[in-house]
Amino acid sequence: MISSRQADVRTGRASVLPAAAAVALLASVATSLVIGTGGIGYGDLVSVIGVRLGLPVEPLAPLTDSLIWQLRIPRVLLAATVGAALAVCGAVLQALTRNALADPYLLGVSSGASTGAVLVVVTGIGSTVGVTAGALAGALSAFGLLLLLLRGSGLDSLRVVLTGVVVGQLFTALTSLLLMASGDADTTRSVTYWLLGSLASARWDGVILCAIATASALLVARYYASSLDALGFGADTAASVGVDVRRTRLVLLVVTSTLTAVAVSAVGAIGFVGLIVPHGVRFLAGPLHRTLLPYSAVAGAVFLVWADALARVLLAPQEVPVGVFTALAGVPLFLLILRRRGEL
Amino acid sequence: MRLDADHLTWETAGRRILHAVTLDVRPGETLGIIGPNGSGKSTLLRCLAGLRTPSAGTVRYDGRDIARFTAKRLAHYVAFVEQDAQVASELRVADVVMLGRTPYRSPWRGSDERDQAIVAEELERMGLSHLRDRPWRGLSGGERQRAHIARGLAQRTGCLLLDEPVNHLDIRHQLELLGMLASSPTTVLISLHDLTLAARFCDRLALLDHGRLVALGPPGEVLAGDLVRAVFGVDARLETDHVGHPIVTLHTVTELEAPSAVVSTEQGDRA
Repeated sequence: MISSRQADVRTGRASVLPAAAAVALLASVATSLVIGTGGIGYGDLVSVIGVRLGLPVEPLAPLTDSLIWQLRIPRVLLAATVGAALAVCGAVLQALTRNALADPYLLGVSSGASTGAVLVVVTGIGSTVGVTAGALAGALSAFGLLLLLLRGSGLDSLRVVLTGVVVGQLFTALTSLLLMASGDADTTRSVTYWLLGSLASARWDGVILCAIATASALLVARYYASSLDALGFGADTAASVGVDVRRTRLVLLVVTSTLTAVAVSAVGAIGFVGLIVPHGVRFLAGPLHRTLLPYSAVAGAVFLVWADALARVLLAPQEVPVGVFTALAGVPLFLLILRRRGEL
Repeated sequence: MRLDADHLTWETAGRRILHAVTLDVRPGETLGIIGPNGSGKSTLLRCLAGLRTPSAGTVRYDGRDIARFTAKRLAHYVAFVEQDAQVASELRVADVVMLGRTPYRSPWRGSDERDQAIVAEELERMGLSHLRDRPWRGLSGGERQRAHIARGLAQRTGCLLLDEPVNHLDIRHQLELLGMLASSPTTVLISLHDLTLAARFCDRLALLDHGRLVALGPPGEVLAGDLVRAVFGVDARLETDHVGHPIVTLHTVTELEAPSAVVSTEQGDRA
């Protein structure tokens, strides 16, 4: 009886969730667009977008129009895509490492991406593509080092998070060294702010790059969804149900590194999104990756959109780096998971 | 399905775990793999399942060498159930059994009615239907083991390899599981510690010692000779119980020597 009722709840949720997810995402984006400086209303949004679509609407004053179109809209959309990207990375890495604490930030991949991006910035080659390429090289180096240090015990070793933290510290130190060596006070200040994770410099090109990367990565990860389910039972069990374990790991490690690199080069290293979001989604939509991955993407988008809205208004006109809020939410959850595993 | 291994050798870190094991398992046969701890039972099963690439030798299913198989194709021939079922997963029991249908599903498609029916059937066979919506983390060791076996069965392969499938099961489930496997048309390879169960349910036994296959034959032959004493260091006697099932009585070598030792001490005292 109990089990059939649980099944009913599940199927009930399954039919409501897609609609709920879509509504939550649209409402969050719309609300976040009108929150903050400038006194923007929903009517202003309609007119800004209407003008772009060639609809017969009253155009706004050029200053307000460019505030909304050039700053606010890209910023909120970037928050949504980066949030989705980090949540998907977290969900995939947790499955690959069989560790509930895995996320691109805690495994040191974000720090590696930061180092690569900063290297490109201080040497002054800095185009968007150059910074992203640097971040990708950094992220892959961090992953390579992590795998090297875990050689022998395997990717799903219990040491993976501890090793990841060490790798992250190394790359953070390298980043500081690069910044100090560059000796330019302005660069140092802006890069330091970016390193903490901030959406203040969001532009349309970053939004588009990040959206394409996130959508492609989600598609690839979704292709491997049942492989990720099977990997939860270890490499041998996964292989015996037909999963090509080596290929799955390789493809998904490269995909998550790339996505992390794109996210970091757009907004800096925002931590804990990949940790928090998949845990919440497992609770609501269940642990199967077929549903976990897309809902993590949506929930990650909603989460970061709200975190960024908070970052804009809490100490206005002063802006708080959004990474501060995600860390404030993530650290207690990290401790909760550790405690549940009986390691604290 | 016929399974044959030819001079199968496996080495790791310079140590040879399997020494040129050659065996041939007939279609529908139940082969028991016995041997002391560290004799290579798990490694042999993993090599046969294609999970370890042998350093030398070949494994063939129905005459086809698995070295060139993709993981997915291999999963259509053989299912493997690991010994250690201790995994912290949040999947439901039915989802875990559904993993056995992975090799038949396209990545984009969910489970179809046939998959659902097979999963329901295997849950029923393993006595787990009432637990189908329970989360994995809430199961007992024996329930997890049965769920893993149901997952292996759901793969519907011609050959099933099980590494110590009864070590967490209660006595009734041990007998039921082994009886079901022995009477199934599937070719079954199963590693066991309990020699009575091995003698009763297996058509033939393979005795491993330090990675070498030292005996392969019907239980009566393998257990009757001095081999068990040489390999396990215990004395085994194959007898028959009141309903005609084989039963293996075991004594450590010192136990057998003890009575005479006691007698001789008494004699010594008397003298």
